[in-house]
Amino acid sequence: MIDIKGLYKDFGSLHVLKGITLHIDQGEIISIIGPSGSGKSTLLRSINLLEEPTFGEIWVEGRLITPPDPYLHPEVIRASNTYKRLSGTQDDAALIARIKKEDLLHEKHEGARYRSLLKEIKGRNFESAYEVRKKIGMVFQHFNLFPHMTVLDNMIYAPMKVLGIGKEEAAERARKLLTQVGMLDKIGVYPSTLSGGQKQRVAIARTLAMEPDIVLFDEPTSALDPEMVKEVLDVIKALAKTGITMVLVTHEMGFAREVSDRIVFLDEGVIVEDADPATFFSTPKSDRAQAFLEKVL
Amino acid sequence: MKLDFSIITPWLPNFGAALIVTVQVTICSLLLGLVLSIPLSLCKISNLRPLQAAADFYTSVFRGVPLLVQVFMMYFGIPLVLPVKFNAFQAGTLVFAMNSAAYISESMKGGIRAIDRGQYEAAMALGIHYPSMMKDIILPQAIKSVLPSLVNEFISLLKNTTLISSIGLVDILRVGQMIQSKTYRAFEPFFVIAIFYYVLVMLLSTLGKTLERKVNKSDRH
Ligand SMILES: Nc1ncnc2c1ncn2[C@@H]1O[C@H](COP(=O)(O)OP(=O)(O)OP(=O)(O)O)[C@@H](O)[C@H]1O
Ligand SMILES: [Mg+2]
Repeated sequence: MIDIKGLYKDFGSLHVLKGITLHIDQGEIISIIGPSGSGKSTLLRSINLLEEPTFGEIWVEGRLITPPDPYLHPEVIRASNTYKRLSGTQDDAALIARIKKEDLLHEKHEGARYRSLLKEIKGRNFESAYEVRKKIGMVFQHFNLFPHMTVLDNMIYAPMKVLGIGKEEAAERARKLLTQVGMLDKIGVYPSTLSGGQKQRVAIARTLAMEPDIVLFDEPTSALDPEMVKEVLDVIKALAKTGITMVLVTHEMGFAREVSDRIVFLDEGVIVEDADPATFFSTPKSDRAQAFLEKVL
Repeated sequence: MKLDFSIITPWLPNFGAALIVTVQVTICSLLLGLVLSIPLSLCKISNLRPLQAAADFYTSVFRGVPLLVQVFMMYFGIPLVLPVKFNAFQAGTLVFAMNSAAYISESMKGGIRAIDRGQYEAAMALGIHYPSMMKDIILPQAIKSVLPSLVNEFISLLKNTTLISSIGLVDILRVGQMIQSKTYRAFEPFFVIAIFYYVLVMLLSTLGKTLERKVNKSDRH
C-alpha cells in the first residue's frame, strides 16, 4: 500500500531523514514514535508530499509519487556515463555501491539513454501530488480548519471541488460523518466557536469526507487540553476498527500501544526499531528505544 | 461680506448630476483597483523573482509620480503614442484604479503573508489546486485584513476624484468653479462642497467600521 524506499530529506545542511525504508500494508495501523526533532513529522508529511524528498522514492498503491530515484534502479545507473567512465575499475556490484554512496550521478551529464530510462520509469508509474492526495487524508496537530467557513462548508468544500460530487451528496456525507464524531449539532457554526477537541473531531470528519484509503495523523492530541484528549482518541480508535490504513505520529504511548499493529521508533532520522507494540514496549532491543521509553513512560 | 447660500439653489440639479459622476468614478476605480490588486499581490508573494520585481516596480511608479501628472499622462499623453483613446471618465477611472491596485496590493500582500501555513497545508492535503486554494481559502481570509485599508482607499479615492475636474469632467468641484465664475462668489459653493465631502467621508468611515466588525465575526473567540 505504502512503500518508502531509501528516503532522505535535507533542509539545507540539516539532514533530517537519513535513509528510511518502510512498508505499510493495507489496513495496517502504524504509530511512529521518537524524540522531538527525530523527523517524525517530516516522514509523515513526505507521504502526502507536503515535504519533497531529497532522495528516495515513495510508492502509494503501486504508483510512484516522487520523481524516480536513479540510485534505486541499478539498470539506470548502468546506463549512465559515470558508470561507463568508471567501469573496469571495479566489479559491477562494487561500482554501483560506490556510485550510490558517493552520489556521483549528475542528471545533466549522464547521457540520453540514462535520461530516457528514468523518463520511462516515470511515465509508467508516476502519479501527481493532486491525485495522491485524493487517496491520503491528513489530520494536523493544529486542526487547520478553514476559519471563514462553517463546519458544513469545511466538510463539503473539498469533496465538491476535488472529487466533483454534488452539493446534496456532499452535505449528506458531512451529516453522516459529523454524527459519527458526535458533532452534528455544530454543523452550522464557525470553527472559532468550538473547543479544541471539537475542532479536531470536525477536522477528522473533514478528512474522512474525502473517503481516503489512508489517513495520516500528526500528533492529533498534542494541542489539546488534557480533558479533551480522550474524546479525540476515542474517535481515532473507532476509525481504527474500520479497516482503514492509518499512520500516526503520537506522544500518547498508551494509545499507540493499544491501537497500533506496529510501532516504528525513529531517532535522528533513521528507523531504529520496527516491531509489534507488545514486543516494542516490553522488550525494546536498542539502547536508544530503551532510553526513550524510560523517559516517556 | 454677507453670506448668501440661496445662490446655490439654482445649481442643485448640477450638483446632483456631478455627485453621480463623483460616485461613479470612485466606485468604479475602487472595484477595478481591487480586481487588479489580486494578481498584483499574487505576483508579490510569488517565488518567481521577475514577477516580484515587476509588481514592485509597478507599485513604485504609482507611488512615485504625482497623481495629477498620471491623470494628464493617461488623458493627454498616452493617446499620442498608443492606439488608444480615452474619454475623461475612462482616463480618470483607469489612473485611480491603477493607483488603488498598487496601494491595496501592498496590504493584500501583508494579509496573505499573515495567514497560517497550516491553511495552505490543509488545502493541499485535501487535494485542492492552487487557483482554488487562493481564491476560496487564502484570499477570503486575506481580504479581511485588507478591509481597513480598503475603506481608507475608498476615502482617499473619493477625495482624489476632484482631480478629474482638471481634464474637464464635471464633478462636484467643477460645479463649484462654475458657480464661482458665474456669481463671483467663492465661499458659499466651496463651503458647501467641503461639508459635502466631509459628511460623505464620515459616513464611509462608519460603514467601514461596521463592515470590519461583521467580517470579523467568524474570528471571534
Ligand atoms: N521546513 C523546515 N525547514 C528547516 N528545518 C526544518 C523544517 N521542518 C523541520 N525542520 C527540522 O527538521 C528536524 C525534524 O523535524 P520534525 O518536525 O520532523 O521532527 P519531529 O520528530 O516531528 O519533532 P516533534 O516531536 O518536536 O514534532 C527538526 O530539527 C526541525 O527543526
Ligand atoms: Mg512533529
